[in-house]
Amino acid sequence: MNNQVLQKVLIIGAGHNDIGREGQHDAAVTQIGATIRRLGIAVVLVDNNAYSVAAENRFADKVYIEPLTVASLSRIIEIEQPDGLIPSLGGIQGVNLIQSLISNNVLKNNNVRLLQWDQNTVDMIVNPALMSNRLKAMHEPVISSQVVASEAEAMAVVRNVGFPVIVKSVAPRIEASRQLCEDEDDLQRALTMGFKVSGTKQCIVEQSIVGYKELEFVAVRDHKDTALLISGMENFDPVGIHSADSIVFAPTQTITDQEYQQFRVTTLKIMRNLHLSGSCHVQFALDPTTQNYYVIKVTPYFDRTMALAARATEYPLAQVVANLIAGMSLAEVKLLGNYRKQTALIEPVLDHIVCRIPAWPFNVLNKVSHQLDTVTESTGSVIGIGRSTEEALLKGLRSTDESRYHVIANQPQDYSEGELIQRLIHPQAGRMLVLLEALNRGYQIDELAELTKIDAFYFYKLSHILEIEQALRDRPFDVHALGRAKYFGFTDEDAADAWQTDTKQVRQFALENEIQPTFKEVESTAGEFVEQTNTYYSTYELDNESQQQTGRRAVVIGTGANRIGTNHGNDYMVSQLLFYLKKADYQPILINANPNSVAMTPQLATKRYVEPKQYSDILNVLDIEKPEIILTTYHDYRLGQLLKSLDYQVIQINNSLPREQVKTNDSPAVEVISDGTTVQIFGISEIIAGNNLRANVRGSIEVFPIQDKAENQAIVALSKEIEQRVLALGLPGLYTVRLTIADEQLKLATIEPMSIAMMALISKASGSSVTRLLLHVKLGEPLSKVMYDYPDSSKLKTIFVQANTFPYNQLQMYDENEITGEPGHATGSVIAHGETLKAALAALNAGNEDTDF
Amino acid sequence: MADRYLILEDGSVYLGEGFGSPAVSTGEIVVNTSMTGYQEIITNQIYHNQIIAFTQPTIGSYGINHDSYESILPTVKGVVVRDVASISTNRQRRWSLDQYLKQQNIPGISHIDTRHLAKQLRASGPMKASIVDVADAHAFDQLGATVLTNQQVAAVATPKPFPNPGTGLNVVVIDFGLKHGILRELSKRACNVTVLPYTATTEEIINLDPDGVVLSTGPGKPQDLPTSVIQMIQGIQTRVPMFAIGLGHELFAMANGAQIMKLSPEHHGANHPIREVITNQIIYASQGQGFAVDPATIDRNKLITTYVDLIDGTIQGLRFRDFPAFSVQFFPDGAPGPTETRGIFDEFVESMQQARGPIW
Repeated sequence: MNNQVLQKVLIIGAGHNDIGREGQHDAAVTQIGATIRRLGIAVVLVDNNAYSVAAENRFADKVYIEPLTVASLSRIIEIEQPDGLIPSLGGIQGVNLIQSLISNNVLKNNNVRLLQWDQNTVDMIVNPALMSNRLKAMHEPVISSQVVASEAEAMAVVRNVGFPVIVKSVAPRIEASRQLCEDEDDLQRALTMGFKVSGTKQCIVEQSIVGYKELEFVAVRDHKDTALLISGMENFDPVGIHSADSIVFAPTQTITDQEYQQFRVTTLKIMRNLHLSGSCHVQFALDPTTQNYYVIKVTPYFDRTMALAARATEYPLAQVVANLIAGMSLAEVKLLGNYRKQTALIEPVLDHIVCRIPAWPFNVLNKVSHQLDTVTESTGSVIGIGRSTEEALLKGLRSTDESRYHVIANQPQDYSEGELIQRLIHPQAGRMLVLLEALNRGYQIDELAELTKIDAFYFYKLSHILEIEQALRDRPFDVHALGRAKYFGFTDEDAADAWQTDTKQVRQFALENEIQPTFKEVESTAGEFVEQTNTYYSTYELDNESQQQTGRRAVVIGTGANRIGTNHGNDYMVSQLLFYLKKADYQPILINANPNSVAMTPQLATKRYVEPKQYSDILNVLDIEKPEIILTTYHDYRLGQLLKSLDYQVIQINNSLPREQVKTNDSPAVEVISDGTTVQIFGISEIIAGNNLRANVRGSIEVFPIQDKAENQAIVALSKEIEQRVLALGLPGLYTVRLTIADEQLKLATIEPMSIAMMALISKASGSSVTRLLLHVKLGEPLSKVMYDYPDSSKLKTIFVQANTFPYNQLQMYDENEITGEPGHATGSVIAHGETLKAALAALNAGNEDTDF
Repeated sequence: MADRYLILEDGSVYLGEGFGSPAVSTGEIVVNTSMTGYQEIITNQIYHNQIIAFTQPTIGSYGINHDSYESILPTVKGVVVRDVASISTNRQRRWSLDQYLKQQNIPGISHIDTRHLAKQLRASGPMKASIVDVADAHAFDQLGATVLTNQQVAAVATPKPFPNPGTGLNVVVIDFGLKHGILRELSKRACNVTVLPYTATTEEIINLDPDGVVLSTGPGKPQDLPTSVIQMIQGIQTRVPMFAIGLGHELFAMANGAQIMKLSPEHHGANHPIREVITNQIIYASQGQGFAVDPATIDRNKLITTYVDLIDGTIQGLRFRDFPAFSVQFFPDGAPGPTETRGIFDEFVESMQQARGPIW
């Protein structure tokens, strides 16, 4: 990399969210964009993610909501003439685009420098076979694999290495899964899928190392060759279960120093050899019996594991990478906030344990196989932080908000012995209960470790959890039993369950006996230095480090795990709420356990608590912070009601999904805001059927604004009635008033809270944050004071369209009865615009020809 | 497991649970922030008579391994941790950490708020501490009355020479409380090693016709060693290539006129960036030091600073201007900790080869 001064950089965003592509990219863009701007470099961002926080709120100097295609990016590059291109923020799709921009000479012709990587790194990321060869050349062990273009070639490989084999796609256009194939049928299926998503119609067939330990290391390196490790992480589940579906611990739990140093050295060596600048994630497989290892994957772009490393250590990873992109060395990095001058150079050490737990889509999509294998099925994840493995694990499990995975409430299980063994050998989602059940039935630890390939260490820990639980059950209202249970991660709700009483009684008992949580800071020096990250987790020890925040405190209950349906949108809304609460002179305090959440971006909230959202966990935070107001969103309605009953001032926001899927064409609706006494119209929207876009679209498309003279006039005529109906609801808020045509006349049909997708659409179409408006009317301000930046709706001429994206292909769902395209199945949302509806739809489809709309 | 207490000189009491040996024991308490390698740390003789508090929350998770010892007999006075996993997953299924500490008569205490302890010690500097069954006035009296020996090296260094044969260069290692990693690295480079007690004289060393001499790591304060050690170093350093590590580095600096100061707070971990002065490269290394060379007292005409800790500013390496003698404060063998510093052993081998001349 040369040292020519950068003046303007281009960031290619990651596009719409989907499985494996949650908020982590947008969270990185918000931080990197903001940091680079502060260093005096202009930032141009291109993205078409409707829920991008970075695309609003001035995290970039200029935002293009445009298709992520070579044509569109080429045009933007020609207009903007950036000096540099940041390649690490757009996921694998972004890397594919960059490869085309390089091969089409777009970068060269416009003098755009590829930052962070050598150009051939792009080829190696896109084509794993090239990476494999490069790793071999540096004498790093890689799994033997071969590129095939037909089933016959694949079978030839299998004859050599034998089943099982792993099949993965070459140059996949989407984040494609590795498929484990145990027989010819599996192989055929995997090849069909793999060839389909491959840009080159090729697949890689490789020897399987199922059953090895899987480890993930994340490091940073600068152009002066200084490199350091950020975090070593260990998968609880062995190789064979996709690491996104695996429980992951940071730091590593069961490997020796020799093994750990081997992975540290290799990670840094790979970064040096590839001349990577920024951060890199390397995955390893370790043979637990011989200490032999393989390098499985090298990922130099932001992904979920980098997000986990950053959250687990609170090392300011994105800020540091932004500085490196701007040409600084690690020694020169300038950090904002309360970081020490040299924090960027201190290798993180932890005195806490972080456990990441995947979240599943099965509550919504019933027919998805629950079997865990090399195909990702989780839609998101949460983390639990504690001071012991047990505490981190239990807090993580609790943070998934899925009561059926709660340890205490879900024992015993009624499987037959045969079924239990099947479940041990062929793990399914939520397997923790199966492992506990096996221990309860007297299976030996060695036996279980052999059957499951999970390290014996974890079974000792699970046995310990069962011991503590038994003691709790055996000794109702025993101070020592409760103290110990809480020390290892159990909660009031668990004790109430074990003692067959209510949570209130347990809480009172704990209070009387001084069993009180203490909050510790998540920071990267294990207490060696004072680093104010303002991020805390609870445990039960001597010293509490979290003091009540000064100023007007607003506690915001975050979204939690990303799930099918609303959550990506909800996280966008929560991020906006934090942003505008701060602007309104509140000190926003976030409670959230989702490591990929954009809301966790350090600039957004004044203070963060990485905690589960169970009632008692929330109360523990509220006891310290005593906020002026609490904000809850749709999913936490019941929690909000409970808090209200405790006399907290709670603002409940109920905007979520459309109430039902509207399939009819030409179904107009009026979008309005109310402060409780007056109502103002944002404009008219319309839902059109997906087949207006292309044939295989299952969902519908939202259009805003509609400038139709006749409709406008009809709506003016209806405005009095609309106002009356909205005011009759009594609550300030954002609403969608649906209209129907009866007797050739527009009539009011239903009123519902405006969907978050529509909020995002109107915000992008109007340039005014609708979330800000919502917040202010919820805070009791009149429309006359808050609507100042909303443009005259008749002047909004550009048509914006928005479509949900679905996970059906990724989850390999093909049953037409299941894949209905209803909003509750969505994982993300794409937005586009045009002068005409036709142009807007063309822009929506561009680059999304294979997207599951 | 029984309730036990960790008590500190300043009157602090931490309630915890005992593991390992049930013995009552007293030592200076130090905090180690390494993320891995509890066995290497516990068996490192630099911690002789000290109680080690780990900030790494769980230790013991893979038991005790045959290839992770840094000495044969650990002589730490105690192990303090938040959570101990009493597990043996090593190949022999032999020792869990708990069993090992019992066998070695070392008490451990778990369920301690080690984060609070670390912050407290960082503010106070080193303190005496005891692991006891009852935290009463008597225990504090005992703690206050305990005088810790300053003859740590004599307690842990070998009293008699022993060989570690190899087919290559002839190296004499002077043992001040040798860390096995030093022998391991010399073995890898085929060196023929003779380990001598720290009381060895210049003549005894020269009589072995060494290609190079290593001054090993060890516990305690360098000023507490007899002046004969300094004389020995002065006698050797201009005649044979020398490589000094840890305590050896401090002695090497003293032998060349520098003074040694107490480092407060002490630093035990592997997270500090260290700058190699000549290349400007930043490296990471395993560190464990309670003392440091006072930079103001270095004779710049004689010694060059080769490595500097960028966090606390301490000198991490020195080199003689006119002779092939050099030293590092950190542990270049890692074990536990980063391995990128192992190349320094190659530098030592090169300096020996050069000194030997072209015949080699």
